[in-house]
Amino acid sequence: MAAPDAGFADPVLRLSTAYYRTIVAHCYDGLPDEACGLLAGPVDADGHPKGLVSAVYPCVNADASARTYTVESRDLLHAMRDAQSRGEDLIGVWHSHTHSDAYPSDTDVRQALEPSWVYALVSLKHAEPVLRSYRIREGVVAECEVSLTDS
Amino acid sequence: MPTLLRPHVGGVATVSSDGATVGDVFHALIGQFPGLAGNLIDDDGQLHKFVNVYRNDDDIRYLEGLDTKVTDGDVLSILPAVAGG
Repeated sequence: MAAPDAGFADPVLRLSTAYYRTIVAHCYDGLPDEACGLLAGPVDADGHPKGLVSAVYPCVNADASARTYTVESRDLLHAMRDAQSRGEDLIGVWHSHTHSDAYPSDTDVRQALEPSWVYALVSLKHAEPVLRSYRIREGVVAECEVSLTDS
Repeated sequence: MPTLLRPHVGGVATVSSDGATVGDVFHALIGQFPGLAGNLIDDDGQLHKFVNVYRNDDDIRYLEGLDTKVTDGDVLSILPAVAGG
């Protein structure tokens, strides 16, 4: 296994272009509010995501706000049960920043409760959407590589 | 138990407990695993606002909250809130 690039945290988030389009479409559909959703995939024996995204769950933003998001708890329950029924687990959450960059806000950092998850941001600030992925551990943000795959 | 709280219960994903209501069950769990104190129930005795709890498929916030009755075999799923801004 190749050593990770200096400066990137693991895992490399491996996302199909189809899932990427699903995520971006949900973010645009959510305007003017922030949109959010969950990611599922295989995890290792310690529960750490391996990086492959095997399912994407667009969710309702229960806050219905352009400044904050909360994944609707019923969507969270459904996604968790679906992932676990396949022997996998939830591995992260994505949400949109309607007018700011694809980087975790102070609120995002404060409310990132899962140290093993990836936190992906989609910025709609510019003409083209930007998706970036991060680990947030004890208040420290570290970017992860995102690898888009054909399928 | 959500991943976040498993270290407080010896690393297991599922624990069993007894009680007539969700609140009773949680107090019994906190008695058994003191590390859970403050994570499930806040200082006002309310369900912690960053925690979602389901009795089977029903969110207890839409039932009677911590006073929601539980019966033998009910599964309580605890999920931390996923939120940001």
